[in-house]
Amino acid sequence: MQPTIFGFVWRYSKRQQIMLIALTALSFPFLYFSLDLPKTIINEAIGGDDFPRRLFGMESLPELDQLDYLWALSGIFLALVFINGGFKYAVNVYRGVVGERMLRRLRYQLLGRIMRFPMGQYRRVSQGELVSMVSAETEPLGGYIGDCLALPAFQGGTLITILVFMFIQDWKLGLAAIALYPVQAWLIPKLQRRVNQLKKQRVVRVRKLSERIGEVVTGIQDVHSHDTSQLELADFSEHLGEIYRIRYNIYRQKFLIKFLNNFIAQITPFFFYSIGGYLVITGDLTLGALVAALAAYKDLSAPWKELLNYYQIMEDARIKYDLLTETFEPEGILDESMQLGEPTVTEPFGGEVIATNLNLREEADANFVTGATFRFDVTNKVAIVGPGGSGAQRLATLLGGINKPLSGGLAIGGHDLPTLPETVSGRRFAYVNQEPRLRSGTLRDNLFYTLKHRPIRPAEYGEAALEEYHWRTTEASLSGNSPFDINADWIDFEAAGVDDSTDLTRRAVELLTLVDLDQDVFQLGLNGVIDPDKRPDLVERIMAARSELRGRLEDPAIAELVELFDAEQYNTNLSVGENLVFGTSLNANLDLDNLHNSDYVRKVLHELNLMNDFLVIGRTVAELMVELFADVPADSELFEQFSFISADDLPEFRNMLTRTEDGKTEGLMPEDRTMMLSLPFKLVVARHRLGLIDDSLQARILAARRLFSEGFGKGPPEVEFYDSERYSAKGSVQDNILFGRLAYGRARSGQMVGELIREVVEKLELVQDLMEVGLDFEVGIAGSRLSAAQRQKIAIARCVLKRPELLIVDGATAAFDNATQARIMKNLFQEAGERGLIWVLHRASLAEEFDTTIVLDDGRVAQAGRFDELNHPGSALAELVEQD
Amino acid sequence: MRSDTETCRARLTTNIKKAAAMMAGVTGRRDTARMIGGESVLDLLQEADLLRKVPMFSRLEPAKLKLLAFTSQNLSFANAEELFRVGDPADCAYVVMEGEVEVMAETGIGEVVAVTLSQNELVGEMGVLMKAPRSATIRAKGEVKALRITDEAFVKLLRDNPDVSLDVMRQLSEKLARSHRQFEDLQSQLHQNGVDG
Repeated sequence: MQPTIFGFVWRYSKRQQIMLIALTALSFPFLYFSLDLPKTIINEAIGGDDFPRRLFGMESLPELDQLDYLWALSGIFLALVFINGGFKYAVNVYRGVVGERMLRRLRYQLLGRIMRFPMGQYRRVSQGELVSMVSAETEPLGGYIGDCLALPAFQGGTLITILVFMFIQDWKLGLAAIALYPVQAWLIPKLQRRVNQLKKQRVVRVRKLSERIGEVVTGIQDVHSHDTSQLELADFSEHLGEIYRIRYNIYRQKFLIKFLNNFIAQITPFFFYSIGGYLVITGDLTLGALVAALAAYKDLSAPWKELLNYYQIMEDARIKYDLLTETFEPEGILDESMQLGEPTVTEPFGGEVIATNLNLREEADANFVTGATFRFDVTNKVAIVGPGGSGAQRLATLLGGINKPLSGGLAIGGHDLPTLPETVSGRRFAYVNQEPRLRSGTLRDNLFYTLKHRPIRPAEYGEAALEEYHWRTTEASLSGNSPFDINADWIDFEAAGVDDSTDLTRRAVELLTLVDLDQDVFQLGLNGVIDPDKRPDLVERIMAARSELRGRLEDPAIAELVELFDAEQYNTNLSVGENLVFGTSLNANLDLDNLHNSDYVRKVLHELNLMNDFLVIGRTVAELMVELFADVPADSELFEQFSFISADDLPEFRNMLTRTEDGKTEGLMPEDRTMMLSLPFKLVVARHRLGLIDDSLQARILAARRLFSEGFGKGPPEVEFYDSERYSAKGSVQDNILFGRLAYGRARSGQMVGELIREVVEKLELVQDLMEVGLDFEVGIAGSRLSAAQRQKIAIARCVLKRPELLIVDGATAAFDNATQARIMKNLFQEAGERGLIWVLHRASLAEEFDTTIVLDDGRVAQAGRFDELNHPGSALAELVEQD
Repeated sequence: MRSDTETCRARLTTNIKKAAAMMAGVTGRRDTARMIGGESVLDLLQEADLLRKVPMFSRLEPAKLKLLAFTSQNLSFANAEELFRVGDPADCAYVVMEGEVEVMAETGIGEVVAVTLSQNELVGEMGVLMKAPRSATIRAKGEVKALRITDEAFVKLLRDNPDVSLDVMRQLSEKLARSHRQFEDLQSQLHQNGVDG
């Protein structure tokens, strides 16, 4: 990073800054002329005589009489107004462009640096601080950079012009005008320094606050479980109070400076009046000159004020930039070349991994490595074991190229490992530990993350998009940003050893099986939603699965597990509302919990004389709910799970019942009607067992369903109707296969139907396709929609996907149950084949399977060699095996 | 004297009849009136009545019984179908409404029927109370209908109704005493065998 903000500005925007100054300078003559012109208009065009005359006395122009002369000059004045405005507009926009491009560049550089920090830096600087630095602290710098040279040039130029004018009038008066400048130049920076101190403190404080916010958010569970919200609030209050105190002091200092400036500006006229007056009286100065000097002085104060103001902003920017460099230039930051360019080593490593006297210890670090010396063949399967804090995991990070050793040698196949650029180590090694981090996006995105080093195949753009793309790349290069297109296809098929994306998906599914995640992804696929327009082939096969399942459900032994959707039958496992709509609403007015408000639905009910039945049923249900739930506490789960009426609404319904005690459905108040009508739609015959919807009523609701779907001659309502021959775009794959509802009264119907669907899907060879649908599952922020075990498995699978020459598993399976752990370990051994595998084991006895075992104790290599040779009584390994 | 449930049913039925009559008057439709005035709403009341016959619920207020019925799931099981297996998480208790269930015991010679429970008996409450996995497998003997009470609803019932809690305690104590007697019997048999052997 450039050491100062001026260095940064000069290095990257020299040309633009000069351009800005030039543009400013170019505007001066026009500005001057537009100030001068009114005088000419008044004195010559309006107040003058001896017409006709030529404009500006130029011989080449025709002679004009007075009026034409006035029109001409006014016209020129108008033109100048446009020109000046135009200049201002152009300068402002260009200044904005320069400032924003530089801001973008600065942020990009900072972000690049974040990814090159030595590991220790992440422990010293919190995530919250980094966020606030890159986003908030840099923000005002952009505005400043635009002004950086242009503003002082412009205001300084103006100032000098006026001063020159004054000195020409009378050098003594000129001196008087600037007599106090030295005082200001001495005093103001002194005061400003104190402001700067405070500003530094403020930045540090705000960073602390961001850090605390981050901590509270990540530790929110502890806040809830230990009732510490007040403690945290008190702490926040303290931080905010401190920021307030600092800001208050800044304000006081800042306005003190302003006050002094104003005071000094006001005191200078005192010199004019006294000294100037004296000179006029003694006859050394004409009165006219004094008046002119006074007027000029008035003009002088504006640019001077601007300059002083600029000085404060400049100091502010300087401090912010200095504070940023402090954090973003930690010792041991990786060189940019480690992440840029093309891989320097392309042939397989082969040979041995050799460590000699390897050291890594950071301050107050319990988990360290010291004097580690060992060697093993690259193709070996190596177990690293050791008690907690033995340094086993730290050693794994060294082998994975995550941490760099402080001293000692670490070589792989003759290459020095710590100095291997990430373009090599990041493609040829893979490291996975117990804290995998997923990114928001689909499961597929997360799985293929390890294959995206550089864009491989350019994105295809249409005509309009291509233009947009060119604009984006030009801008990016002007701001020194990434030359790579994020929309390109970054997936490196070759790295995964596959030919194309179909092959890659096949491989991904294979790996999911390897890490025991196939069932989960299959289930995600069943729950997934697909776009029938994009996958017509798949939709067709899902429809085949639907009819296959329907065939199987004809077996009377299982027929009653599912009540299939049938347009001609009332479905007792659907609610009354669902039976009426019989499809998925595409219009919020026809959502299930809103049916009673729909005029359309009411019309249907009226038409079939169902309105009164519904009102009576609604009132009966209300009565029952009020009776049943009268004594249930409002926060009870029973309300949420079972009641048709929420706890909050219960009193209102009770009042409604009292109001309508006579049971008449005529002349009801609209709100009573609405309340009654809201309930019947929720009744599910099989579930609620209230007997209110008997066979004849079911038949009439069926008639209502038909009427509802026809739409009174105005076309059907916005509903995607259940249609046994059509795929529902809104429903999940499982819903589409099932095309019915699980029977309510059958024990374990869910489980049994699940197995049935699995059988059907397997028979129709849909498993692979559904896994692919599962791969499109959105995992949520940091993978929060997956379980910890699922996240861990994805992290392992994606390491294997890039076929690393060295796969380092840092305890990544330790959280699984023993059987799963053993299975995954066996699979990874098989998958690795001739490639290397290094495993930090939490259970030392598992090391028996490995070629080489390295035993760490207190940061030192206690033993290294074959398991059976090391595992003799009294040895460090035997002790660890004992403890398993 | 009429039972509370009867009173309650009578009241509800009267209300419904009133409403139905009114409605019949308005719409002139007899079928709706017949439906609501007849034996409807009453699956729930029947279930509540059956629940009353379960000893530990016998002293429960009618409204609470009805709530219990309403919040429970009415499940049917085929012959030999398992209500739950040993080791399953205990997330509910069942009241047998129709038919019989068998409690299976794990022995050296395989599973044998330890006890047969019939209508109105409560099963699976122990697991819910202990928050422990099922200690035995329960199997339907013939067609069975059972009310499934979720653990939350069951615990809430105990918490709100000291009478029911006391009753559950009494029944559990009886079970314990019975097991203890059986254990003593077995021990003395064993002892005799040992002496004789």
